[in-house]
Amino acid sequence: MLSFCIKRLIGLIPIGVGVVTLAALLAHVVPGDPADSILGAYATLEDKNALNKQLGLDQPIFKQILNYYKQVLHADLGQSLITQRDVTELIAERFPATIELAIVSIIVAIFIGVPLGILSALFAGGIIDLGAMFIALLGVAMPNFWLGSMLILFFSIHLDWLPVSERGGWQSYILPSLTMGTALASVLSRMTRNSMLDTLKEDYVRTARAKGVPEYLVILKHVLKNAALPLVTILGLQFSVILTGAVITEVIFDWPGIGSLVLEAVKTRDYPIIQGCLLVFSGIYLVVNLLTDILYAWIDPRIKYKSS
Amino acid sequence: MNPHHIKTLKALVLNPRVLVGLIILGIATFCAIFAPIIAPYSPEYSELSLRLAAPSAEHLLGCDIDGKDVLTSMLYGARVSLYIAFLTVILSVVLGLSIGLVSGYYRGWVDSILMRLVEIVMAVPTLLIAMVLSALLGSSSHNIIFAIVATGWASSARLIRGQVLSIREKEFVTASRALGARDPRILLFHVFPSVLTPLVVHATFSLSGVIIIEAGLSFLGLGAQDETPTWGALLGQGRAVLTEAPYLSIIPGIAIMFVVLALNFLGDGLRDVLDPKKSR
Repeated sequence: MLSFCIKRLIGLIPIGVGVVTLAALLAHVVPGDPADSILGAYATLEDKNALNKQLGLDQPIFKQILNYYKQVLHADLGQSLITQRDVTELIAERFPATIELAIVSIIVAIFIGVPLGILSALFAGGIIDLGAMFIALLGVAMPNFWLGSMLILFFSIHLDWLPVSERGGWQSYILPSLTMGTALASVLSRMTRNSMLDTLKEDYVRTARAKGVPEYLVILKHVLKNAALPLVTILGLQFSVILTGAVITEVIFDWPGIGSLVLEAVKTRDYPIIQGCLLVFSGIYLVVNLLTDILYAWIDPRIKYKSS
Repeated sequence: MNPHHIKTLKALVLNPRVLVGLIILGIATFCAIFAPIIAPYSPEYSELSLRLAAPSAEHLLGCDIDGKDVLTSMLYGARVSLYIAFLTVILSVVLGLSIGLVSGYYRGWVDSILMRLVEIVMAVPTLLIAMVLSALLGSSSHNIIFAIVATGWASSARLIRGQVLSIREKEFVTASRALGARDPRILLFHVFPSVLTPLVVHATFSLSGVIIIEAGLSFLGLGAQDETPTWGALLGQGRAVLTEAPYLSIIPGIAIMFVVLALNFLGDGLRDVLDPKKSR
């Protein structure tokens, strides 16, 4: 198991190096002088030179990348061009709000998606299955920014039950987490259904039934436990989708997280913040994928042997 | 057309999901193409006295914040939204297909380098990169397309590479090589047709993803700022007047949802018929 983890960890190094390089080169995506795109066409030459110096853009590209590596390794992501505050500090300030919302959304998605999938599988082919799967399809097709607006319209404006925006008590989490979690709930319900239908056909399920084990125990102990395996992978893969969804959800609900931070930075062309957020989002993606791989190998030892 | 093709075509037409998907998508495409004929007003026509006018007989879906007819904007918006979505997916798929074919067929160091590149691109969230690129490059529809293709190709490349790895070991490929066929010929006439089915299914699902990403960008104010607003941009405009004119938010959202739903139906149906092993 340890060698499997080490192997996976080593595999991450080239990807990490690539992502940092990408972030370092971000300012060069636009043709021409990056200072022009940040300060606008009417900036003086002195201003441009000063900015290029601050961002290290006056150095050769190779040196810029190397310097950025050094910075990242020292957990120094530079300073915001607008507020002059440390990017690491800004991200650390906003990060908890995003992670909290993401975790609550995943819990909401599990509580909606898994039971819906189980019901669908147990009544496969029937009207319940059809209804549940149609709801799941709608959930995937609904853009989350639209769902968010509709939830505000109905629950906050029309019924006046829940707050429109800002992070506060538990009530403030309901609408944003539903907005973020609905698509995941739909994916989970489809996966649960498919996985359960596969497991229901297994020999050990037939054996359990033949032994006279009550049906609810067959489902709980034999089917659900084994059908949960693919869900681990899906949850891992979808975590980064949830985080990306945070950008839009945070804008709709005025949530003070990393998503709204990155949008402000993109609009003001605050490169250091954009670079920092890019690293954080990608870093989380890589770490979650690694943990998913390890967890999956731990649950299902066949994977470990196959990869070695 | 050989009997096998006719059988597949028949199965496709008879599949209810494919049928529903095609009908909805057909209606949307028809509206987009014939917008100048079916739209009740010109897209530039606006009357400030009709600002936020509720749906009526003259303006079936009401008027927006500038007094423009919403139905007209929706019909013209379909043009931009669908144009961006189709072109983005075509470019992503062609790029991903080329990289996947080369990577899976030649393996070795070419494969290692290309697949590391795919992993790097996949580690970066598409929406984030698209936001950054469209903000930096300027919000024209072609920049939006470039911004989404920049990361969108990676998933097709990974899919195709996986397929090619198994196809290149098949007997018909070995036989062709033994007969003296060169690599380009094998790739084009033997490997490519075999990856077409999963590619079509993947492209269909990608289309729905791109429609949502493009609409999301527009919603955030980073989408195509061309003369004609996309559905996402209309939705973004509606958000500012959610209380006074909720229909401005409801209508574009429903249109996006229907098209995405149709594409998901179509993708599921295509997979059922063309790739029965993977379907459920």
